[in-house]
Amino acid sequence: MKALKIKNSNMTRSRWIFAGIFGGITLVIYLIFCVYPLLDSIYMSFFNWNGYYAIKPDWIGFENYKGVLTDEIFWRAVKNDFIITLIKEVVIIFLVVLFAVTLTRFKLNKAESAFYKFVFYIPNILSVIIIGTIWRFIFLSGETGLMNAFFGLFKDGFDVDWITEYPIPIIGFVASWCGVGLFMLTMIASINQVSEELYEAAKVDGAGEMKQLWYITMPAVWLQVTFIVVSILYQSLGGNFAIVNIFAPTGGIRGNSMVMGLYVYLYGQSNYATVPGPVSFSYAAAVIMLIITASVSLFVKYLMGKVEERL
Amino acid sequence: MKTRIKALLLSGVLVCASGLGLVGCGKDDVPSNAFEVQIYAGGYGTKMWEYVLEEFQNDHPDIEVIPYMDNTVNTQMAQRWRSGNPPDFVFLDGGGLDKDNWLKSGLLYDFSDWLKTAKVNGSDELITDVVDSEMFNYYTDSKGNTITYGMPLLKSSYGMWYDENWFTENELSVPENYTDLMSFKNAIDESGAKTNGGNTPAVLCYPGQYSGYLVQGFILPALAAYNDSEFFNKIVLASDPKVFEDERFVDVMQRFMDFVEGGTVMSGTLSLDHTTSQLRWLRHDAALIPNGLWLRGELERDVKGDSAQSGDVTAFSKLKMRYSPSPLVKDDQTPTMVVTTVSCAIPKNGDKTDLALEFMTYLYRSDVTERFAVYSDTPSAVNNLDLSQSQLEVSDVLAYTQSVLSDPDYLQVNKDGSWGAVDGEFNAIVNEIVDGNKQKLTALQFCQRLKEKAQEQL
Repeated sequence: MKALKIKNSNMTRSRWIFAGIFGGITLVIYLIFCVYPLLDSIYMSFFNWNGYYAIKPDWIGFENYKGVLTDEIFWRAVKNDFIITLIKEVVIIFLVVLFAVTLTRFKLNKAESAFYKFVFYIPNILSVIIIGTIWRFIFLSGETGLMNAFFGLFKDGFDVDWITEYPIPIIGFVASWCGVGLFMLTMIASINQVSEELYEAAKVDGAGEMKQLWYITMPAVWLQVTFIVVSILYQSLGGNFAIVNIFAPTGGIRGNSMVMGLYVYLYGQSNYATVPGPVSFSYAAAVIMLIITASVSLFVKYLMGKVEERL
Repeated sequence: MKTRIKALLLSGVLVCASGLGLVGCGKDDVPSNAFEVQIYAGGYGTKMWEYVLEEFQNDHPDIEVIPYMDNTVNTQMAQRWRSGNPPDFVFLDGGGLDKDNWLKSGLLYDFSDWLKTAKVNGSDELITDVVDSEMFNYYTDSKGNTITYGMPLLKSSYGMWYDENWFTENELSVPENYTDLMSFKNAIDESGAKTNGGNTPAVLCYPGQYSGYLVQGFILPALAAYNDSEFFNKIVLASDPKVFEDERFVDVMQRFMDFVEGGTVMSGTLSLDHTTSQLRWLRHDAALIPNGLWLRGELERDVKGDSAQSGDVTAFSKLKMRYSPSPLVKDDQTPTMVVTTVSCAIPKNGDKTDLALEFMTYLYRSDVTERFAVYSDTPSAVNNLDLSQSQLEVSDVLAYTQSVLSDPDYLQVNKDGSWGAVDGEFNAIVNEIVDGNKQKLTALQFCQRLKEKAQEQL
C-alpha cells in the first residue's frame, strides 16, 4: 500500500499508524457515544415514543416541534437561559480579568499567588450537587437560611424567600461563582505570554495600569476572552439545568426558574407532557435547544472575531 | 522502528480490549437464579422488606434474592423497564416511578385470575379473604379491558398533621371545617404563640417544591367530601374535562384561594422541599402540615440529617403527632379522608413470574403484615389486623392513625388511578395562588386551566 503523502507534511508511516490507532479509537468511541445518540434522538423526535420498547411508536412528523415552539413555558425557559448566561458572561469575564491581572501584574509573592489561585479554583473541584446544596441553604427561606439569619441581625424577623422571589439572579450568581476558577487559570497563562517589554515601554510612555490593561493586555488575550465567552455560552445554554434542578426542580412558579435543560427533562415525563409520546417530545425540545445553542455560539464567535480585528 | 510499531500496535490492541471489556462489564452479571426486587427506600423505610426478603431467602436457598433498595432506585431501574428487562418484583412507591407508562404499555401482570385461588403463604386462607377488593389497584385500558395490577400492602392517606402538645400548651383547637379554618389564624395570634424567631406561627406550611402534598392532603379531601363517587372519580382520573368546571370544584378552589388570601400560609414555603418543610413544622413555624402517614418515620430520620439544627432531636422527642382530615370542607360536610393503597406489582413478561407470585403470598402472612404496619407506622391493607398483642413496639402515632382510619364519624373515599398531566398543572396552580396570584386569575379561570390540561391528554 502506498503511503499517503500530503504536500509539506512531515507525517511518516509510523506516525500515520500512531495517529490511526489512537485517533481511530477515539473517533469510534465518539461516534458511538456522541454522534449516534444525537442522530437517533433527532430521528425519534418525529415519532410519538413514550420510551418503552414494548410499544411501537407512530410517525407524527413535526407535531412535537410544533408543541414545543407553541409552549410559553419553553420560551420562558429560553429567556431565563439567556439571562443567566448574560449574568455569567459579565460576572465571570469581569472577575476573571480582575483576578488574573491582579495575580500576574501586581507582583504577589509565590505563596500568596498560589494561595489565591487555590481559593478561586475550589468551586471548580466541587460537584454541582454540593455547590447547589450549600448555596440553597444560604438562600433558604426562614431564619435558618444564612442570608436571612445575617440580615436578621439588623432587622428582627427578616425573612425573604430568595429562591422563589429572585431565582434567576441567584442562580446566575451561583453559576458565576463556580465558573471563575478554571477560566482564571487559562487567562493567567495567556497574560504570562505577553512580553514584559511591552509593559515597560508603555510605562515609559506614561501609560497607567488601566491603559496598559486596555491597550496591551486585552488585545493580547482577546483570543482567550473569545474562548471564555463562547465556552460559557455553550455550557450555559442547556447546562444551567444542573444548578436549577437543585434550586427549583419543578421550574418555579409559572416557569420563572425554568431553563431549557430542565424543560427537556421535565416534559419528558407524564406529569407534565400531555402528548402520547413524552420522550419524543423531550427529544424535539432538545433538538431545538441544540439549534439555538449552536446558532448563538457561532454568531457570538463571529462577532468576537470582528471585534478582534478592530482591536 | 519495527519494535516501535509493534509496541504501538500492542498498545492499541490493549486499549481496544480494555474498552470492550469495560463496555461488556456489568451486563448479564446477574446470576440466572437471581430474584431481583425493586424497593423504593423512602418514608416507609425498608425494615419490613428486609424481614420478608430474609424469610423468603431462607425458604429458598436455591435462589439468590437481590434487593435494590435505595431512594433513587426507581430512576436507576427505569431503563431496565424501558428495554424490557425489568426486575422480578416492584414496590409501587416513590419518585421516578413510571407506573402510568407501564400500564399504558401493558407491562404489569394481571392478578385477576391468580387471585381466585391464591392463598396466604403457610395458610389455607385466600388472599381475597384477608384484603377487601376495593384495596386492590385496577386499570382499564383504552379498549375497556380491566386488569388488577396492584397488590395492596398498606392503607394510606394524606391529612393534616399537628402537634397535640403544642396545641394544648397554646390552648388551640384543631380546625375541623372551613369556618374553624378561617378563624384559626386569629386564634393563633390571640394565643400568643411565637416561633423561635419571635414571629407568629402560620396556619400551615407545605413543601413548595412538591406542592402535590397540599393538593392531596388539603384540597382533594374537600372534593371527596361531596360524597359523589362519580364526580370524584372523574376528577382523579381526569376522564371528563368538564368536571373541572363543575360548580363544586370551583367552590373548593374559591375556598382555597380565600384561605390563602388571609395570609395563612407560611412565608418562604414555596422554596422548601419535604425535609425542610417538615423541620419548619417541627419547630412550630406553622401549626399544620399536609403529609402522608409516613411523616413520623421520616421526621425521625430528618432530625438526624444534614438539614437539622441542634434542638430538633429534643423537639421531636416532645412531639405528640396527631392527624386530622382536611378542614377545607364545608361546615355541613363530614370530615373526609381520601384513602389510597400502597401496593406492589410484578412485570407481565418477567422470567420469574411463579417465584414472584409465591413471594407475593408471603406478604400476607400475619408476621409480615404486622411488621409492615409497625415499621412503616401505617395501617395495614389487611382487614382487622390486631396489633394489641404484638411483640413489636407499636408507636403511639400508628395506634392513633389506625383509630382515625376506622372512625365511623369520618367519611373515607378510596382513590385509585392517575390524572396524568393534570397533576403537574394542579401543583403549579396551588403554588401560583400561594405566591399571591400575580396574574389575578379567578377560581373559575384556574379550573379552566385544569380542564384544558385534561382535554389535551384525552
